[in-house]
Amino acid sequence: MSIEILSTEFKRVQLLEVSGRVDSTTAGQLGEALNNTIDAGKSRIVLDLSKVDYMSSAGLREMVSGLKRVQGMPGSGGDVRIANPSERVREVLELAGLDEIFKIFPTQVEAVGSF
Amino acid sequence: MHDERYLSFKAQLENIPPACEFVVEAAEAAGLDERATYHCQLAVDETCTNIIEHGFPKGQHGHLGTIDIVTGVDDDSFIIVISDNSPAFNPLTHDDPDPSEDLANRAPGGWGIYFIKKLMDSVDYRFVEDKNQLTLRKAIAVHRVPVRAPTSELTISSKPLPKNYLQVNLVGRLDSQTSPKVEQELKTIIGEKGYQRLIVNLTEVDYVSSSGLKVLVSAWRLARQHAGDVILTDLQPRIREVFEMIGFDMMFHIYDNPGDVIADDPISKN
Repeated sequence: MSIEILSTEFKRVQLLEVSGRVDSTTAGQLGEALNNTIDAGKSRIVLDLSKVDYMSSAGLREMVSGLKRVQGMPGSGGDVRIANPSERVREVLELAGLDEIFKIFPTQVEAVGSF
Repeated sequence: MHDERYLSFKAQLENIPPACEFVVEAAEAAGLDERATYHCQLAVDETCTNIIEHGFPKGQHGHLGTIDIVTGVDDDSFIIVISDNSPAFNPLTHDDPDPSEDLANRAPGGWGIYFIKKLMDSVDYRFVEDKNQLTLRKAIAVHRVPVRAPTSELTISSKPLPKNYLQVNLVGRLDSQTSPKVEQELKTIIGEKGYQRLIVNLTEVDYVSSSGLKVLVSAWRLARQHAGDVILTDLQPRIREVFEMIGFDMMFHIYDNPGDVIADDPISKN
Protein backbone atom coordinates (compact mmCIF):
# COMPACT_ATOMS: atom_id res chain seq x y z
CA MET A 1 0.00 0.00 0.00
CA SER A 2 1.28 3.41 -0.84
CA ILE A 3 0.07 6.85 -1.66
CA GLU A 4 1.29 9.19 -4.32
CA ILE A 5 2.07 12.81 -3.70
CA LEU A 6 2.69 15.11 -6.62
CA SER A 7 4.35 18.35 -5.59
CA THR A 8 4.06 21.42 -7.83
CA GLU A 9 5.63 24.78 -7.16
CA PHE A 10 3.58 27.88 -7.88
CA LYS A 11 4.87 31.42 -7.49
CA ARG A 12 3.66 31.81 -3.93
CA VAL A 13 2.19 28.42 -3.13
CA GLN A 14 3.28 24.81 -3.02
CA LEU A 15 0.62 22.40 -4.24
CA LEU A 16 0.62 18.84 -2.93
CA GLU A 17 -1.76 16.54 -4.79
CA VAL A 18 -2.31 13.40 -2.76
CA SER A 19 -3.84 10.25 -4.16
CA GLY A 20 -4.67 6.91 -2.61
CA ARG A 21 -5.48 5.61 0.82
CA VAL A 22 -4.12 7.65 3.72
CA ASP A 23 -4.07 5.41 6.80
CA SER A 24 -1.63 4.37 9.51
CA THR A 25 0.55 2.57 6.96
CA THR A 26 0.84 5.52 4.58
CA ALA A 27 0.31 8.66 6.69
CA GLY A 28 4.07 8.82 7.29
CA GLN A 29 4.57 9.60 3.59
CA LEU A 30 2.16 12.52 3.84
CA GLY A 31 3.96 13.80 6.94
CA GLU A 32 7.30 13.50 5.18
CA ALA A 33 6.06 15.41 2.12
CA LEU A 34 4.71 18.20 4.33
CA ASN A 35 7.92 18.36 6.36
CA ASN A 36 10.13 18.41 3.25
CA THR A 37 8.07 21.27 1.85
CA ILE A 38 8.23 23.24 5.08
CA ASP A 39 11.95 22.50 5.50
CA ALA A 40 12.49 24.01 2.04
CA GLY A 41 11.06 27.25 3.43
CA LYS A 42 7.66 26.94 1.81
CA SER A 43 4.89 27.65 4.25
CA ARG A 44 1.93 28.33 1.95
CA ILE A 45 0.67 24.86 1.12
CA VAL A 46 -2.39 23.55 -0.67
CA LEU A 47 -3.30 19.91 -0.09
CA ASP A 48 -5.45 18.66 -2.96
CA LEU A 49 -7.33 15.69 -1.52
CA SER A 50 -9.64 15.04 -4.47
CA LYS A 51 -7.96 11.69 -5.16
CA VAL A 52 -7.88 10.53 -1.57
CA ASP A 53 -10.60 7.91 -1.27
CA TYR A 54 -9.93 7.07 2.35
CA MET A 55 -8.41 8.90 5.30
CA SER A 56 -8.08 7.76 8.91
CA SER A 57 -7.06 9.80 11.95
CA ALA A 58 -3.42 8.96 11.19
CA GLY A 59 -3.67 11.22 8.12
CA LEU A 60 -5.40 13.99 10.05
CA ARG A 61 -2.58 13.85 12.62
CA GLU A 62 0.01 14.61 9.92
CA MET A 63 -2.07 17.44 8.48
CA VAL A 64 -2.53 19.06 11.89
CA SER A 65 1.19 18.69 12.65
CA GLY A 66 2.00 20.37 9.34
CA LEU A 67 -0.46 23.18 10.01
CA LYS A 68 0.99 23.74 13.47
CA ARG A 69 4.48 24.00 11.97
CA VAL A 70 3.64 26.57 9.27
CA GLN A 71 1.49 28.69 11.55
CA GLY A 72 4.32 28.70 14.07
CA MET A 73 6.68 30.29 11.54
CA PRO A 74 6.55 33.99 12.39
CA GLY A 75 5.50 36.47 9.69
CA SER A 76 5.43 33.93 6.85
CA GLY A 77 1.68 34.03 6.27
CA GLY A 78 1.97 30.28 6.29
CA ASP A 79 -1.09 28.07 6.07
CA VAL A 80 -2.13 24.62 4.95
CA ARG A 81 -5.33 24.78 2.94
CA ILE A 82 -7.40 21.90 1.63
CA ALA A 83 -8.86 21.52 -1.85
CA ASN A 84 -11.75 19.31 -2.90
CA PRO A 85 -12.00 16.61 -0.21
CA SER A 86 -14.41 13.77 -1.00
CA GLU A 87 -17.65 13.59 0.94
CA ARG A 88 -16.26 10.85 3.19
CA VAL A 89 -12.99 12.68 3.90
CA ARG A 90 -14.91 15.87 4.64
CA GLU A 91 -17.07 13.96 7.11
CA VAL A 92 -13.96 12.81 8.98
CA LEU A 93 -12.56 16.37 8.99
CA GLU A 94 -15.83 17.60 10.45
CA LEU A 95 -15.92 14.86 13.07
CA ALA A 96 -12.58 16.08 14.42
CA GLY A 97 -13.66 19.72 14.16
CA LEU A 98 -11.00 20.33 11.54
CA ASP A 99 -13.41 22.02 9.14
CA GLU A 100 -13.15 24.97 11.53
CA ILE A 101 -9.38 24.87 11.60
CA PHE A 102 -8.45 24.23 7.99
CA LYS A 103 -9.69 26.45 5.20
CA ILE A 104 -11.38 24.12 2.74
CA PHE A 105 -12.03 25.02 -0.91
CA PRO A 106 -14.16 23.22 -3.47
CA THR A 107 -11.46 23.38 -6.16
CA GLN A 108 -7.69 23.38 -6.45
CA VAL A 109 -7.76 26.70 -8.35
CA GLU A 110 -9.69 28.43 -5.59
CA ALA A 111 -7.40 27.02 -2.90
CA VAL A 112 -4.24 28.12 -4.73
CA GLY A 113 -5.77 31.51 -5.55
CA SER A 114 -6.77 32.07 -1.93
CA PHE A 115 -3.22 32.93 -0.85
CA MET B 1 -25.22 -14.07 15.42
CA HIS B 2 -25.38 -15.39 11.84
CA ASP B 3 -23.36 -14.94 8.64
CA GLU B 4 -20.21 -15.10 10.73
CA ARG B 5 -16.86 -14.43 9.09
CA TYR B 6 -13.44 -14.72 10.70
CA LEU B 7 -10.06 -13.14 10.14
CA SER B 8 -6.90 -13.55 12.20
CA PHE B 9 -3.69 -11.68 11.53
CA LYS B 10 -0.40 -10.64 13.09
CA ALA B 11 -0.44 -7.30 14.84
CA GLN B 12 1.45 -5.37 12.18
CA LEU B 13 0.33 -2.18 10.46
CA GLU B 14 0.69 -3.60 6.95
CA ASN B 15 -2.04 -6.13 7.79
CA ILE B 16 -4.63 -3.43 8.43
CA PRO B 17 -5.61 -2.60 4.82
CA PRO B 18 -6.45 -6.25 4.03
CA ALA B 19 -8.40 -6.41 7.32
CA CYS B 20 -10.32 -3.30 6.20
CA GLU B 21 -11.05 -5.03 2.89
CA PHE B 22 -12.41 -8.04 4.79
CA VAL B 23 -14.72 -5.82 6.85
CA VAL B 24 -15.91 -3.87 3.79
CA GLU B 25 -16.95 -7.09 2.07
CA ALA B 26 -18.77 -8.33 5.16
CA ALA B 27 -20.54 -4.98 5.71
CA GLU B 28 -21.67 -4.85 2.08
CA ALA B 29 -22.92 -8.42 2.27
CA ALA B 30 -24.89 -7.47 5.40
CA GLY B 31 -26.63 -4.77 3.37
CA LEU B 32 -25.02 -1.63 4.77
CA ASP B 33 -24.89 1.36 2.45
CA GLU B 34 -21.66 2.91 1.20
CA ARG B 35 -21.38 5.49 3.98
CA ALA B 36 -22.04 3.03 6.82
CA THR B 37 -19.57 0.60 5.25
CA TYR B 38 -16.97 3.35 5.20
CA HIS B 39 -17.66 4.03 8.88
CA CYS B 40 -17.13 0.35 9.74
CA GLN B 41 -13.88 0.31 7.79
CA LEU B 42 -12.65 3.43 9.60
CA ALA B 43 -13.64 2.09 13.04
CA VAL B 44 -11.79 -1.19 12.42
CA ASP B 45 -8.75 0.67 11.06
CA GLU B 46 -8.62 2.97 14.10
CA THR B 47 -9.10 0.08 16.54
CA CYS B 48 -6.36 -2.06 14.99
CA THR B 49 -3.98 0.89 14.63
CA ASN B 50 -4.37 1.66 18.33
CA ILE B 51 -3.84 -1.96 19.31
CA ILE B 52 -0.68 -2.21 17.21
CA GLU B 53 0.79 1.18 18.15
CA HIS B 54 -0.05 1.15 21.86
CA GLY B 55 -0.79 -2.46 22.80
CA PHE B 56 2.29 -3.95 21.20
CA PRO B 57 4.99 -1.27 21.45
CA LYS B 58 7.87 -1.70 19.03
CA GLY B 59 10.39 -4.31 20.05
CA GLN B 60 8.14 -5.79 22.72
CA HIS B 61 6.34 -9.07 22.08
CA GLY B 62 5.31 -7.69 18.72
CA HIS B 63 5.82 -11.12 17.23
CA LEU B 64 3.30 -12.54 19.69
CA GLY B 65 0.60 -10.05 18.86
CA THR B 66 -2.46 -11.40 17.11
CA ILE B 67 -5.69 -9.64 16.23
CA ASP B 68 -8.86 -11.60 15.55
CA ILE B 69 -11.89 -10.13 13.85
CA VAL B 70 -15.31 -11.76 13.78
CA THR B 71 -18.15 -10.15 11.86
CA GLY B 72 -21.78 -11.15 11.78
CA VAL B 73 -25.38 -10.04 11.80
CA ASP B 74 -27.54 -10.00 14.91
CA ASP B 75 -30.84 -8.29 15.75
CA ASP B 76 -30.66 -6.30 12.51
CA SER B 77 -27.21 -4.95 13.40
CA PHE B 78 -23.88 -5.55 11.74
CA ILE B 79 -21.49 -6.68 14.48
CA ILE B 80 -17.70 -6.52 14.47
CA VAL B 81 -15.81 -8.15 17.34
CA ILE B 82 -12.11 -7.30 17.51
CA SER B 83 -9.95 -9.28 19.97
CA ASP B 84 -6.25 -8.98 20.74
CA ASN B 85 -3.79 -10.41 23.25
CA SER B 86 -2.07 -7.17 24.27
CA PRO B 87 -2.20 -6.10 27.96
CA ALA B 88 -5.69 -5.28 29.23
CA PHE B 89 -6.75 -1.81 28.15
CA ASN B 90 -10.25 -0.37 27.98
CA PRO B 91 -10.20 2.30 25.26
CA LEU B 92 -13.64 3.54 26.32
CA THR B 93 -12.24 5.00 29.54
CA HIS B 94 -9.92 7.22 27.49
CA ASP B 95 -10.89 10.92 27.62
CA ASP B 96 -12.46 12.25 24.43
CA PRO B 97 -10.61 15.02 22.62
CA ASP B 98 -12.58 18.21 22.03
CA PRO B 99 -13.38 18.93 18.36
CA SER B 100 -13.94 22.61 19.16
CA GLU B 101 -10.41 23.02 20.55
CA ASP B 102 -8.34 25.58 18.66
CA LEU B 103 -5.15 24.64 16.88
CA ALA B 104 -2.77 25.92 19.55
CA ASN B 105 -4.39 23.80 22.26
CA ARG B 106 -4.99 20.58 20.41
CA ALA B 107 -2.74 17.57 20.08
CA PRO B 108 -2.38 16.46 16.47
CA GLY B 109 -3.47 12.90 17.25
CA GLY B 110 -5.71 11.04 19.68
CA TRP B 111 -8.81 10.93 17.49
CA GLY B 112 -8.97 7.22 16.82
CA ILE B 113 -11.10 6.12 19.77
CA TYR B 114 -13.33 9.17 19.46
CA PHE B 115 -14.01 8.26 15.82
CA ILE B 116 -14.89 4.68 16.75
CA LYS B 117 -17.42 5.89 19.34
CA LYS B 118 -18.92 8.48 17.00
CA LEU B 119 -19.13 6.27 13.92
CA MET B 120 -20.64 3.17 15.52
CA ASP B 121 -24.11 2.86 17.02
CA SER B 122 -22.64 1.15 20.06
CA VAL B 123 -19.20 0.13 21.29
CA ASP B 124 -18.64 -2.34 24.10
CA TYR B 125 -15.39 -3.40 25.78
CA ARG B 126 -14.74 -6.59 27.70
CA PHE B 127 -11.63 -8.42 28.89
CA VAL B 128 -12.33 -12.09 28.23
CA GLU B 129 -9.96 -15.03 28.53
CA ASP B 130 -6.88 -12.81 28.67
CA LYS B 131 -7.97 -10.88 25.60
CA ASN B 132 -9.21 -7.38 24.95
CA GLN B 133 -12.50 -7.64 23.14
CA LEU B 134 -14.14 -4.65 21.50
CA THR B 135 -17.61 -5.16 20.03
CA LEU B 136 -18.77 -2.63 17.46
CA ARG B 137 -22.38 -2.48 16.31
CA LYS B 138 -23.87 -0.66 13.32
CA ALA B 139 -27.65 -0.81 12.84
CA ILE B 140 -28.49 -2.19 9.42
CA ALA B 141 -32.06 -0.86 9.16
CA VAL B 142 -30.92 2.76 9.39
CA HIS B 143 -28.05 2.41 6.98
CA ARG B 144 -29.45 -0.11 4.53
CA VAL B 145 -28.80 0.16 0.82
CA PRO B 146 -32.11 1.32 -0.66
CA VAL B 147 -33.78 -1.45 -2.62
CA ARG B 148 -34.53 -0.22 -6.10
CA ALA B 149 -37.23 -1.65 -8.27
CA PRO B 150 -35.53 -3.76 -10.92
CA THR B 151 -35.24 -1.77 -14.10
CA SER B 152 -36.65 -3.43 -17.15
CA GLU B 153 -34.46 -4.00 -20.10
CA LEU B 154 -35.30 -5.05 -23.56
CA THR B 155 -33.11 -5.26 -26.60
CA ILE B 156 -34.22 -5.37 -30.19
CA SER B 157 -32.32 -6.76 -33.14
CA SER B 158 -33.40 -7.74 -36.61
CA LYS B 159 -32.21 -9.68 -39.66
CA PRO B 160 -33.67 -10.04 -43.16
CA LEU B 161 -34.94 -13.49 -44.16
CA PRO B 162 -35.96 -14.88 -47.60
CA LYS B 163 -39.27 -13.90 -49.25
CA ASN B 164 -39.03 -10.30 -47.93
CA TYR B 165 -39.50 -11.32 -44.32
CA LEU B 166 -37.69 -9.55 -41.52
CA GLN B 167 -37.00 -11.37 -38.28
CA VAL B 168 -37.23 -9.08 -35.22
CA ASN B 169 -35.75 -10.52 -32.03
CA LEU B 170 -36.94 -9.15 -28.72
CA VAL B 171 -34.95 -10.07 -25.60
CA GLY B 172 -36.14 -9.17 -22.11
CA ARG B 173 -39.37 -7.83 -20.65
CA LEU B 174 -42.04 -6.22 -22.80
CA ASP B 175 -43.77 -3.96 -20.28
CA SER B 176 -44.76 -0.33 -19.75
CA GLN B 177 -41.12 0.71 -19.40
CA THR B 178 -39.87 -0.96 -22.55
CA SER B 179 -42.96 -0.81 -24.78
CA PRO B 180 -42.49 2.77 -26.10
CA LYS B 181 -39.07 1.83 -27.43
CA VAL B 182 -40.44 -1.28 -29.16
CA GLU B 183 -43.38 0.64 -30.59
CA GLN B 184 -41.08 3.27 -32.06
CA GLU B 185 -38.72 0.68 -33.50
CA LEU B 186 -41.52 -1.38 -35.12
CA LYS B 187 -43.07 1.77 -36.63
CA THR B 188 -39.71 2.71 -38.13
CA ILE B 189 -39.21 -0.77 -39.55
CA ILE B 190 -42.66 -0.89 -41.14
CA GLY B 191 -43.12 2.75 -42.07
CA GLU B 192 -39.64 3.93 -43.03
CA LYS B 193 -37.50 0.86 -43.71
CA GLY B 194 -40.25 -0.67 -45.80
CA TYR B 195 -40.47 -4.11 -44.23
CA GLN B 196 -44.07 -5.22 -43.94
CA ARG B 197 -43.54 -8.91 -43.32
CA LEU B 198 -42.35 -9.11 -39.73
CA ILE B 199 -41.55 -12.22 -37.77
CA VAL B 200 -41.39 -11.19 -34.13
CA ASN B 201 -39.35 -13.79 -32.31
CA LEU B 202 -40.25 -13.96 -28.62
CA THR B 203 -37.96 -16.83 -27.49
CA GLU B 204 -36.25 -14.64 -24.96
CA VAL B 205 -39.21 -12.55 -23.85
CA ASP B 206 -40.20 -13.75 -20.41
CA TYR B 207 -42.90 -11.21 -19.65
CA VAL B 208 -45.48 -9.30 -21.70
CA SER B 209 -47.72 -6.77 -19.98
CA SER B 210 -50.90 -5.18 -21.39
CA SER B 211 -48.88 -2.28 -22.79
CA GLY B 212 -46.67 -4.83 -24.55
CA LEU B 213 -49.75 -6.47 -26.05
CA LYS B 214 -50.96 -3.08 -27.31
CA VAL B 215 -47.65 -2.50 -29.07
CA LEU B 216 -47.89 -5.84 -30.86
CA VAL B 217 -51.46 -5.10 -31.94
CA SER B 218 -50.66 -1.65 -33.31
CA ALA B 219 -47.69 -3.03 -35.23
CA TRP B 220 -49.95 -5.79 -36.60
CA ARG B 221 -52.51 -3.15 -37.76
CA LEU B 222 -49.87 -1.02 -39.39
CA ALA B 223 -48.32 -3.97 -41.22
CA ARG B 224 -51.77 -5.12 -42.38
CA GLN B 225 -52.48 -1.65 -43.80
CA HIS B 226 -49.36 -2.17 -45.94
CA ALA B 227 -50.47 -5.63 -47.09
CA GLY B 228 -48.04 -7.22 -44.67
CA ASP B 229 -48.35 -9.00 -41.34
CA VAL B 230 -46.79 -9.42 -37.91
CA ILE B 231 -46.21 -13.07 -37.17
CA LEU B 232 -45.16 -14.29 -33.74
CA THR B 233 -42.76 -17.19 -33.10
CA ASP B 234 -41.18 -19.11 -30.23
CA LEU B 235 -43.54 -18.07 -27.45
CA GLN B 236 -42.65 -19.25 -23.97
CA PRO B 237 -45.45 -21.47 -22.60
CA ARG B 238 -46.56 -18.93 -20.01
CA ILE B 239 -46.86 -16.21 -22.63
CA ARG B 240 -48.64 -18.46 -25.11
CA GLU B 241 -51.16 -19.16 -22.34
CA VAL B 242 -51.85 -15.45 -21.87
CA PHE B 243 -52.13 -14.90 -25.64
CA GLU B 244 -54.65 -17.72 -25.97
CA MET B 245 -56.64 -16.45 -22.99
CA ILE B 246 -57.16 -13.05 -24.60
CA GLY B 247 -57.76 -14.48 -28.06
CA PHE B 248 -54.49 -13.29 -29.59
CA ASP B 249 -54.08 -16.67 -31.24
CA MET B 250 -57.15 -15.86 -33.34
CA MET B 251 -55.59 -12.64 -34.53
CA PHE B 252 -51.91 -13.42 -34.98
CA HIS B 253 -50.27 -16.17 -36.93
CA ILE B 254 -48.20 -17.94 -34.29
CA TYR B 255 -45.44 -20.37 -35.32
CA ASP B 256 -42.87 -22.44 -33.46
CA ASN B 257 -39.93 -20.82 -35.20
CA PRO B 258 -39.09 -18.40 -38.05
CA GLY B 259 -38.06 -21.27 -40.35
CA ASP B 260 -41.62 -22.65 -40.29
CA VAL B 261 -42.95 -19.22 -41.26
CA ILE B 262 -40.71 -18.98 -44.32
CA ALA B 263 -41.63 -22.53 -45.37
CA ASP B 264 -45.35 -21.89 -44.94
CA ASP B 265 -45.25 -18.26 -46.18
CA PRO B 266 -48.71 -17.37 -44.81
CA ILE B 267 -48.62 -13.77 -46.06
CA SER B 268 -48.60 -14.74 -49.72
CA LYS B 269 -51.72 -16.77 -48.89
CA ASN B 270 -53.42 -13.84 -47.11
